[in-house]
Amino acid sequence: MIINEQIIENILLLSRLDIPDSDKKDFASDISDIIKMVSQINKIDTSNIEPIITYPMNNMQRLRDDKISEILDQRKQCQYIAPQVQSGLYIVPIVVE
Amino acid sequence: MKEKTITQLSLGLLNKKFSSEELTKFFLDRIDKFNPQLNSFITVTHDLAINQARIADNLRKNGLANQLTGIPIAHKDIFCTAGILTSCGSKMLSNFIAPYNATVVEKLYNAGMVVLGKTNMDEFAMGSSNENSFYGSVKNPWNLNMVPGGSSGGSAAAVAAWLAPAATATDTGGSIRQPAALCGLTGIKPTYGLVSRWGMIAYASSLDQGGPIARTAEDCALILRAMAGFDPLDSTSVNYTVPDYYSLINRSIKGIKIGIPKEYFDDGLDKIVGNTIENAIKQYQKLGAIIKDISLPNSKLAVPAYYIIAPAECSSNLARFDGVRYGYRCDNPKNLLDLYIRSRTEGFGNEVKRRILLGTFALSAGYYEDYYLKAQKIRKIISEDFKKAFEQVNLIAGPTSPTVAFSLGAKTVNPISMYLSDIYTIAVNLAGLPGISLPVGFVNKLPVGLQLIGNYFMEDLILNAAHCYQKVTDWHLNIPEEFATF
Repeated sequence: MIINEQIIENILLLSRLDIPDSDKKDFASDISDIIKMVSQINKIDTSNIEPIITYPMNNMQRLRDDKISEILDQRKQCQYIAPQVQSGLYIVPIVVE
Repeated sequence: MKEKTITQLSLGLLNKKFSSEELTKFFLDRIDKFNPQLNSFITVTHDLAINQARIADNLRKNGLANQLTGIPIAHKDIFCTAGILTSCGSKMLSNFIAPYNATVVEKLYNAGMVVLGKTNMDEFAMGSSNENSFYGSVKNPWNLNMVPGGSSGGSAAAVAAWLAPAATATDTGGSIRQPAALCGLTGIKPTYGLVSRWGMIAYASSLDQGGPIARTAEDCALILRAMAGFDPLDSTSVNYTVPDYYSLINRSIKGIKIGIPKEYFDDGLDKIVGNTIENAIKQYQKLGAIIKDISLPNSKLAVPAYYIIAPAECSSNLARFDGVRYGYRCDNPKNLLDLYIRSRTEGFGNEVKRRILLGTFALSAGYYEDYYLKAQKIRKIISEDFKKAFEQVNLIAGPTSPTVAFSLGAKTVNPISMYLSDIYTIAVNLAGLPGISLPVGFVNKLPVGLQLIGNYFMEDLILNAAHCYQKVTDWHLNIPEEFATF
């Protein structure tokens, strides 16, 4: 499958990323080559194979008890490293005018 | 100082030949002297290390020391360290002071180990040469024009140059074993779920696993014993009683069956590297192991399946870096979308962007079944190959890397050639198995690594087999000439 610049534009938006126009052709070409390489797997018949969905040993993931496990308020500790905080809230540009 | 392993350093501390403070100063001085050539550390924690060393000396004075108390270690900059920069090799986290410790960091601290600093790495652990770091490339101590491997290249270079006796590392597709091989060290990637991932910044969560890089299997056994164990904070942590790897390391390996997969000796393997691996296998035969030819018929599908699954998981994991709660934020965002897009565009490097785009594509509408779901089925097929192999043999042996260390810049323009550096290591992650790399010789004055793969939770046997080899060889004790002044 050829990944053209239009597909790149689409996945850039989905990924919340941008790249300079001058690099788009190279990115599209690299990703096309990688898709070509990974497409080898399509030659294998997997119709009777169950996929690994959870993790390698296919065990069920453990759930913890439905109890409050963290009693400390860590807001200050976490917001200390935030780019912009006011009155304990994270500040972002205005979303609704 | 003539000691070259943790086991020897530990004996030196026990016999009061030197204190932990003296030992820590010795390594900090070496870091100050040699790191500018290697770029293996992002952060050096001078004051913290001396304080921790003094605490360790006090513990020893009060009879509370174990074999690791007072031994310095470096942490890969992917592990959160409270109050210390945890950058993950990225501009995105170049201002991130972790608010808590990773479980691995906490466990090694509780064992009395002293933190020397944080090691350089490929950005978000994506790379096989350590050339994708925001903090610049790391050089291989055996030849400064060569790469140290990746993504744990800083950890490997630091230990190889004896700037640290050991370092933590992580392995998603070979990132412990390949740099250990390229730098002449021993590095073990444990069974998925054995070592907690809490506080280990996620790249591909179903593949990531932490482990140690050190000079010897004995040293790896000591550190892994302290690192491993059930952690309620990690939902994939396995509730398993960790064996005493160290006390099990001296067993005879006479009669154990080692399988040699023919697919690991294909055209892609450098011929002289192949000969070196064959010599190591002959050594195992002399030690009493039974060598058996086996087949892992779907090995060739591992790299393609990995480069769907890992980018898919990475595109999801790295969505959290949005410039809102922590990490890099762009200047003067016009609106929320602009804040997200420019923070991520300016904060991530090209390889990270490439993998996010690839993963987003593989998970997007219309492609999910053809790529992601198909790759997870291939993963099952690869796991089944190993399952069948382990019905016939106890261990699988082969090369860790198809070549010795390659030149800086040699593979940066062609992503696929870089991805193929991990051709012999990736399948182990897809199956969640444990694997070790140990040094078994040199080609063109550059180290060659042998990979031993075991069945689930057979770390004790892997370490045992590696140690038996190291008892009759001395490849693991070599230090590059340029760094051998003490």
